[in-house]
Parts: sequence; C-alpha cells; structure tokens
Amino acid sequence: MAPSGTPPRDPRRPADWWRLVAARRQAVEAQLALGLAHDLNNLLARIIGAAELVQDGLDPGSDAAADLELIMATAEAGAVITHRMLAAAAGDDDLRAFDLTDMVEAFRAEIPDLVRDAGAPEPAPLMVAADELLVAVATGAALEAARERGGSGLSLGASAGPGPGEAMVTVRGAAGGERPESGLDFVRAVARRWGGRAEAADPADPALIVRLVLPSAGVSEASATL
Amino acid sequence: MLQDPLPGKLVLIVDDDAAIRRALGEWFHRSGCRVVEAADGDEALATFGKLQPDVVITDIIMPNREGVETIMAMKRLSPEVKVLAISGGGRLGSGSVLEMAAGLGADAVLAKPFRSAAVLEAVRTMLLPTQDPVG
Repeated sequence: MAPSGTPPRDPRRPADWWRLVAARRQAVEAQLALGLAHDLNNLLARIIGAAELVQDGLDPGSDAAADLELIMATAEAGAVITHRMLAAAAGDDDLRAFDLTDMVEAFRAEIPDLVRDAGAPEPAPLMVAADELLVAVATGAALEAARERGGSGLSLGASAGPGPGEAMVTVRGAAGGERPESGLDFVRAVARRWGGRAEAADPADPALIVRLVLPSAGVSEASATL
Repeated sequence: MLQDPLPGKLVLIVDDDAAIRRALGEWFHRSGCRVVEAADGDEALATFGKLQPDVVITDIIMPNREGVETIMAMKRLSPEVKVLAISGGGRLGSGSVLEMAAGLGADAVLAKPFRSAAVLEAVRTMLLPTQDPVG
C-alpha cells in the first residue's frame, strides 16, 4: 500500500513522467523555501531595526540594553538559518532544467489530448502544473506545427520571463523562413485555458518571441528541436 | 583622517515594509543625513525625479515596480547616484536578486537582516571618492 499522501504510481506512465513529477515537487519546495526565507529575513530586519533604535537611547551597561543585545543576536542567529534555506533552494537549478528533446517521446502519447482540448472550457484530463505546462506548451506546439506542415525542423525554447509567472517562448520556423503560426496559436490557446495570456513580442519577426504569462511558473529553461 | 561623508547627504529609502523604512530612516537621520522615503518603485522614481537624492537604498522585491527595474531607471536618469540594494533573498531567473541588482547598476548590495553599522558602513564606502592609481 502506498504511503498516505503519495499518489499511486501508474506503471503506464513513462519513467520521464515520474522524473518530471519529482523535479516539479522539488522546484515547488525550493520556491516555498525562498519565499519563507525572504519573508523571515524581513521580519528579522524589523526586529533588529526596532531593537537597535531602542537600545540607542539606553545606558549601554543597563540590563535593558543587554536584553536588547540578546534579542538582536537571536535574530542574527535566525538569519543564519534563513540564509542556509536560501542557499539550499538555490541549489535546485539542475532540477528545474528540462531537456525537451529527451522528453518528446515520453510526452508524445499525452500531448495530442492536450492539443485537442486546447481552448475547451473544461480542464483537460492532463493536469500539468505551471512549469510542466511550459514544457508541454513547447513540445505540443512543436508537434502540432510539425503535423500540420507535414514536416519537422520547428525549433522551440521556453525560459523564465522577466516577471513572476512569466515565460518567454521562442518559436522558430524551419529553414526557408516560414512563420510557425500554428505554434503561436497553440501557445495562445493553452495560455487562455490556463488563465494566462500570450503575446508575440514582434509579430513581424521571423523568430516569434512569445511572452507567456501564467498565474505561476517556475521553469528555468526548456528547449526542443524536432 | 577622512571626513565622514554622510552628514548633509539626501538619502532616499525605498522599501514596502514601513518598519524597515523607519529603522533605516532613523539610522541615517542620526548620522546627519536628510531622509526621504518611498514604499515602492513607482513612488521612488517620482521622488527621485523631484529631489535628486545623493544616495538610494532600495529593496528589490516590491509591489508596483520592483527594485532592479527601479535601479536601472534611476541610473539612466542620473548615473552618478549611489545605490545600495537590500533584500531578504529571492531569485530572478537563475541568479539571486542581489546578484542581479549588482549586475544591473547597484553600487553595493546588502542582505537583510543587518545592523545599522553594516548599512552605514556600506553607504560611507560608496560615497568615498575612488582613489586614482598611484604612479
């Protein structure tokens, strides 16, 4: 029997799927640690700031000044812990980088459903979280565009955008300068379904740079060439 | 002995946390500085344009306009302004927010939390004239 809280492992899922789930979980934990450490550091900054302001008005040899020094030293000890959390969270970069090319075959069975359901009012059966979604968007757009055009050579990349929940998806056509319109349409449809939006930074650019804004996204980098 | 560069300087403190702004403001006020405050990047840029401070101390993760963008805008307006970036941590892309701030215009960075001595020393160091190489 599986441990409480652990979903049963579906043997039909490919190994890469579980690798992705594990990476996703670690990425979420890292984001949580970063957020907690940031907020705790601000609270510790308040404590040290206020304590030092009060201490400045006291006799340095007084009991009250000594108590305030203890408060500040304790806050600084807390900061050692938060900085350790930040350092640990920063070490997750390799876990948040996805090699799409290796995953294309693993996703090939899943992506057509996602493509067909894009734009539908109900969520697709494949419930992917934000960074997996970016992987799916790039892979799915590549597959869709390649299928429509009966060929391959479409190149896509996805990376973290400049703001929270933003990703930049680059869609490049095959040699010859054809515009990968179907890839852009797919990105837009998926973004809409997930409550986000996608805009082409420069529609005239043969390499479409699509700014994808989702409620939350944490992927570092993903790319694929099919 | 070098003269303390702080007295008389106008310091703009930018942080969305009022308690941190208050502590920083008092520390610099007690060191002889004039102090103005802003609660986010938009407010900071408006104040910056009006008052032309000598020093800006800015948090990075803030509502409306975050700190790195604010620093870049200020440096475009006034390249000589000295900027100290402060943050409780966090990451932008693959780097820490303070690394990114240092790469995009901050003259110095300081991780929260800190005591007054650390932040006053950081600003004094920024304000000291850079020494030309001898010879």
